[in-house]
Amino acid sequence: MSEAERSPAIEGRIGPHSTPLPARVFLDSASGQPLHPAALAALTTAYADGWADPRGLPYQNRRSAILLDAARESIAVILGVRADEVSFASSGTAAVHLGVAGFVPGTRSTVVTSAVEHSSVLAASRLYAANHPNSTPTLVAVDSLGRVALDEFDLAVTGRGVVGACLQSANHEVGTVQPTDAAAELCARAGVPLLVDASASLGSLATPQQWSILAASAHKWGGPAGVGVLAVRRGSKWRASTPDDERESGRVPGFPNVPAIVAAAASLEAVVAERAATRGRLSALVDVIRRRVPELVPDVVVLGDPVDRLPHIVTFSCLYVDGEALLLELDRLGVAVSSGSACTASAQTPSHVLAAMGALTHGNVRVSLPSTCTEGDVDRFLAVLPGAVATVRDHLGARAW
Amino acid sequence: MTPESSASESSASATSDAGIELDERGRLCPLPIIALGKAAASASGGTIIGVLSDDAAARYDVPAWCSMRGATFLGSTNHGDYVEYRIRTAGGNRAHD
Repeated sequence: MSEAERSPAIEGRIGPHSTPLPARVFLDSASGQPLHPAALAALTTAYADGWADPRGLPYQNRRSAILLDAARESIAVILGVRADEVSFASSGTAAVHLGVAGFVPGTRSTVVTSAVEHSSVLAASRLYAANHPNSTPTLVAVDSLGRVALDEFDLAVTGRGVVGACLQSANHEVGTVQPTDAAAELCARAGVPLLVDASASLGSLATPQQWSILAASAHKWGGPAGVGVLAVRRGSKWRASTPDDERESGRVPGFPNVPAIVAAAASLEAVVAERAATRGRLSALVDVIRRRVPELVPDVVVLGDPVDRLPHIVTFSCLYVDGEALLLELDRLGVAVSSGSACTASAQTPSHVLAAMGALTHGNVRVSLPSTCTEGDVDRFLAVLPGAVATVRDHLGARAW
Repeated sequence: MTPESSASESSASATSDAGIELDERGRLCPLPIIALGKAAASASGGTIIGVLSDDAAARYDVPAWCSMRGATFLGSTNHGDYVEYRIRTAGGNRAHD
């Protein structure tokens, strides 16, 4: 890896008087990948050339429109759809919200989702139910690996008054891949549009082939934050829920952020071109973590499917450990991870994903490798983890018996 | 399957058959589970332990602890502002209480 590929933000020293520390290790790419070099280059160029409103007629506006059209075409090719089926939203969450809100209501209006969808999907389906009569969101259970139960999914989508179903391509917390193609066949048989939330996997796994609506988020594949993708196949039972607006085929209102979209497309093209190599490298590193963590730390359970999974995500829970304390201790030692435990400051309840799987919810650590992750980064994490867990357990008096 | 709906193997009330009762109300995760682990470590096999908790994570973590420790999750009773969870420690066929 060249120095240029490393984000300067994750390098350096902590505190004005502290001794120099080794470079900080960022293992929380699921919350956002560092900007891909291709995105950074495209962003700089596009800010110079693509700032104007792409709807105007003068030269600068046409330049902007050409850049936007090219980005749309590039993403459409990767998704396997027509360019006019692709719209850009202001985030993956916004794309999901607009995607779910566009299910066409009937006299009953049920939205089916798996129990382990991203919170944006669950929140959007709850709001949909609140906004429509005779509507309750239906949650489909998952197994202990976090994979949706297809027979239950089938039962749910063939129920009365189902107007749409949502299934993620892969789980954002535990990495388990979902059977979206099989789910799409069940939905097609039931005449129900399927929204695939591809945010966790787009760029790192093969693009899902079968769906009516697809949502994704650029900062998950190394593009800039603030770009979401909402793709709606022609003929889908879907209509825009927002006031009339001519932009983005009427599916997303407002002036799109052309430079960020150009950078997102450049990044996705680059990531897809590097996908096979990146996947093999990161997946091998995750295999090391999955194997070594239970050897190094007593009383730990590694979660999610060990094989049919995202290449870059692994989650485990440590018994008798406060997840937030462990996250902060690892951060103090220079390693950034995230946690689905309730004890973290951002949540009063534990991760709905871990809960739905019946997994231990406390002491949870999600490790997600950025595409630039090296063997050295993983070694560093594995070197500091046992001590960090022991420190937290000692503090809680959990090793004194 | 939710812990609340799990079948109880005991016909007597939880309070009367719990060999050990841990009042962990007001304590957040993972403290109730640490208390359970400590109590189970010093109890003989097959002991029934009741845990009173108002922590949202206990609902998932008590059964998860049982499967990690080979203990049996006997069920739970919702008392409104707290839940009572009952487990039987590994190693004994019958409760020693």
